[in-house]
Amino acid sequence: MITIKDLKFWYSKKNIIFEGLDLQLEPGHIYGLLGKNGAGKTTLLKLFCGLNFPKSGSVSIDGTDPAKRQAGFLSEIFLLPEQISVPALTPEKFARINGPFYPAFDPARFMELLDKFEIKAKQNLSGMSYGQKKKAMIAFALAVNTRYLFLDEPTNGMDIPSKAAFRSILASAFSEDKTIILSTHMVRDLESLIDTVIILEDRRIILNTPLNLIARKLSFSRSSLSLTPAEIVYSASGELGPVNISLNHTDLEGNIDLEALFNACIYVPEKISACLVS
Amino acid sequence: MNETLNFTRFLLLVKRQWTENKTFYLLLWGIISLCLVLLNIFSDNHSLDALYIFLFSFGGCAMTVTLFSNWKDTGRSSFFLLLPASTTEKFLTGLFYGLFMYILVYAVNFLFIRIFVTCILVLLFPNNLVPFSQEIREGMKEIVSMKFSFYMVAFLTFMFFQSLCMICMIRFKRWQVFYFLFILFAILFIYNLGMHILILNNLDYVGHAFIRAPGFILTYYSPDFSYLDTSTKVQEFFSFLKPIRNINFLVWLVIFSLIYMASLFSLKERELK
Repeated sequence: MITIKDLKFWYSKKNIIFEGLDLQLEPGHIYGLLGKNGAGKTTLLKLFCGLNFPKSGSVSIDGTDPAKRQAGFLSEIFLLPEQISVPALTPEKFARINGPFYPAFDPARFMELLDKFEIKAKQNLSGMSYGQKKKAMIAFALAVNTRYLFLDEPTNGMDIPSKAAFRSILASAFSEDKTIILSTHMVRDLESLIDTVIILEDRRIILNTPLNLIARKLSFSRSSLSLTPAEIVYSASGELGPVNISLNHTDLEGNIDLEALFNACIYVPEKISACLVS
Repeated sequence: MNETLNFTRFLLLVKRQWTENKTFYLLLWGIISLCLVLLNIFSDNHSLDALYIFLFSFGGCAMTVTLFSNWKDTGRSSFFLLLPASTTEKFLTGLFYGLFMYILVYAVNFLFIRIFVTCILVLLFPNNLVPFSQEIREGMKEIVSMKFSFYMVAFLTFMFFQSLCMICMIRFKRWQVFYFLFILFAILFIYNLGMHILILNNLDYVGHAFIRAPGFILTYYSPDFSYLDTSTKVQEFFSFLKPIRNINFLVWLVIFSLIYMASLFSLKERELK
């Protein structure tokens, strides 16, 4: 379990990233971490891993302080940063020298994943495109079988078939003892994957709610014909026309438009909170 | 699981480091070998000894750079910091290559090249009256009979450069080489100035000997004044200072060990911004 208590963090005192942040993340979920540029998504992932240290408050994963970067703790987490940089080695060699550090690393699974992503195991990583490097690293990230997996903008630089492959591979790699956190701007790429959405805004978390609860409480529709203006909680303009968010009066769970939800949380956070607790 | 030091994990780190950097290590070895060949050919009666020491020290710094210089590359540095091994093991891998392996390889390389160069010179000048076996014997004898203080000075200089390089590589995110050189020259300048003032003020009659001493930086930096300064007068003057000289060695050794320790703590406290 990931627990954050009263976290305060800044890179420079003039620009405080988090203040009084509390969060508890249970295993068995795929969390989608959303936020505007500079909201602190990557920083939060770094704090989870112990790459940044809290200025005050605490972060702990299964009772361990990540900042200590103990070997046993590190063998249970994997962070795939947004910017991929790899040594001039083949994926096969890369896995051979780095895989043994992770007790649950499965070399056969790594080869299988490379195959699914159509990456050659014997081609040098330095000669690959950015998307190919990313896929090779995602294959490694999934093959190490850590209990905590943090992926920062994982679909950045991927082509459309690769994004689909990534979604199905990640879904198949997930199990109840794992916690996966995906930080992304591209909500459409991952909305079918995540089961809980976390939104960061203005130094704190403004939403940390399972999608099924949101779907029970809120309704997302492209047509406003059946809605009175008073019923519309938020109306977001989209490429295919406006998306109206209103209270869901049925017992059915409808589809969620994550982009509209995100905008609503940013612009009318009180209204959304009120709807979700009602 | 031993969280601080596990031999298996350490060996994995050593293997990983070699696999990722072997091209650079072999290239460095080639450059050092070439420099050693040239130094062996052109050095005459220890006139280029300071260059041997600089070559030795900068090679060690180059080895250090490969492990701790990627902080601005978030991908590689986060992967390195999050690799499941303790910070101590990662740091020791740096010392293993930058200190232990480097010194071993340099020493073997030095001996091999001395023999190699002697062979070449004997082949090129067959009329040389001194037999080959004697040339080799003399060469080896010279290495063995070198004063302890020479090796100590070489080792301490190496440790000074390498420990300073290591802490700069770990502490700074970018421009590390610039910071390293800046701090290095600042220390040498302040140290030399201090020594210069001290010596000139207190030992007027040997002052000139110091000023014209070869390897001027090392003369003052060196804990053993008698080695680098060719002036007999200075050697005689300092001959009574042997115990002080040895204490001086020890003090430097402790200082450099502390810099290594500071580097280890810096690595533990390293954040990625």
